[in-house]
Amino acid sequence: MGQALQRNDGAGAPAKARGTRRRARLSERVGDIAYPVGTIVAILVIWEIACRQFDIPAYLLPPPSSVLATIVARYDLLAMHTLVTTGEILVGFLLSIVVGVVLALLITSFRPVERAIYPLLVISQAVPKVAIAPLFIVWLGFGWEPKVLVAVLIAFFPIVVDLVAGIRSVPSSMRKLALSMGANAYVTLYKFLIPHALPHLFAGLKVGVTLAVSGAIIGEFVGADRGLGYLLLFANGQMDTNLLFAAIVVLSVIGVVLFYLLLLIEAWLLPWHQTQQSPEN
Amino acid sequence: MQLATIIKAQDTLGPMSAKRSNAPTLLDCERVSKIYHGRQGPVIALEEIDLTVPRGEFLSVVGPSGCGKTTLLNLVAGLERVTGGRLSVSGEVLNAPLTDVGIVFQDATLMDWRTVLDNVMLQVEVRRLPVEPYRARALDLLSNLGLEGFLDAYPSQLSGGMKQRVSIARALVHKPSLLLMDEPFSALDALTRDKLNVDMQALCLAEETTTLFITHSITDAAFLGDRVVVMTPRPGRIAEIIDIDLPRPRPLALRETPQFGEYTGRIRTIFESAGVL
Repeated sequence: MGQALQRNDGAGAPAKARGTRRRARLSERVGDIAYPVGTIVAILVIWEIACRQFDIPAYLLPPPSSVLATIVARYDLLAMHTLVTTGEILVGFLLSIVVGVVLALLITSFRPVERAIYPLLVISQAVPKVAIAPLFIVWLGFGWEPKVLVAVLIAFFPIVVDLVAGIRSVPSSMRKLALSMGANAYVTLYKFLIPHALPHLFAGLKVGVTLAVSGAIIGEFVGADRGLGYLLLFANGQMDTNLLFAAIVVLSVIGVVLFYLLLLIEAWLLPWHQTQQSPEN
Repeated sequence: MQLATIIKAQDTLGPMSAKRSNAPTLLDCERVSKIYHGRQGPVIALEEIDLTVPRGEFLSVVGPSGCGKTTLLNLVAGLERVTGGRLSVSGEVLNAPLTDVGIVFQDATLMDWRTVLDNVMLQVEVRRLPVEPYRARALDLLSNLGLEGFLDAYPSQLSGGMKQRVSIARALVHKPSLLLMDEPFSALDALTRDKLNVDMQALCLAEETTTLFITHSITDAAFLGDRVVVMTPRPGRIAEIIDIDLPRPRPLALRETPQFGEYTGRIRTIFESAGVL
């Protein structure tokens, strides 16, 4: 249970505890940023030195400085393709949230639906998405639709599974409590079940968003004339390893930014849960 | 609080212990049975329970695991249906979950995402009661339970005893006719438990709510109850109903007195003769 405030502390104690806790959390935050950034910088430095020291040809492994120069020089090209791919990722991710949440609610509300759908969900994940992506191209053409579809198909699964697990983990006493208050199905859902399952949902969203990035790229690999996936293949064909790395860097940045946006939304929506996760508890 | 109690004549006891009260009946069980149909055939959880509870009474139900006391609570709350006999609350047979009720579970069952005050107000929100007057009442109850400094705290910041206090305030805020408590103190340490026993008694004297208090602690049952229903398992049935004729408010030291020891001794003897102890 962690640090329980003592009852006899009086009213002043919680405020004081909150102050020191906030300071501890701030230094923890700084560390959260400083450590990974330090690691990345160290890797880049070693990489740069290695490239220069051992004269590694640029088509095999360009030094970080030259990748950075490429990003700056070909900014327009990268920005155009980034916009396309980011759009596909966002639409795909938002759709997979809708699909995932609706399926999870149906599965947990109606037993027959669960029995009918759940095995299909598992099968849908057993089929490799790369293998069916060409089919989507045949059906939907070379536009953004097949990319979004692949992204949804990969990303919705962890969202369904985690939200179902979250709603299942509602203790029976909480359901009894809702009944004793005369709550109908709708009130039970939005006052009891959904808030209780939100931390689980966010766990699924965090996995889902990174999968949506992969999904969009897979879709672009199979057939596209724009987007970062297309750019990757194009740079590959040109033996332009600098551009290849530049595209990879941009893709990673998209993934990281989306992931941290989710963390921010989570911290904003679930302050109570963050306090539980904080290290001093 | 109505201290006078009533005991309905019971098959096993005969009418000798009947004592009249002028308080109207709130809960009435007539030959109530509950049979579960499991894989290994039917299991009798409760057999022929006869029990009448007048308004305002604090009724303890004590028994070992498997004696059907939680089943009894679920039946009274309308969360399960009787398979035999008749169970009525305020004169009406239950066929849906009882809503004129407050329930305290063994686990405090607080909403982790709500502050202490908001947890209590959940009861008011879901029932669509007017917020202002009930908010005042919630604040009142919380301060009576010693939580006035923690209104904005989240459950994760509270100790086990404090969480259970919040859940007691939540169960009482809407002034229910019936308070059901399902082993509310069994997850707490001995000292917290003693303190809660005393506070619970004070609260019930003030609230005059009819209370069904399920426990497996003989001491808690006798200390708090106007009457103690002693239940034995397999099949779950009432062995005896004992009047606790001790004045209120009862101090903790009362538990060391010979009169109190007589009551707990009697309950223990029942368990011993039933092979429970």
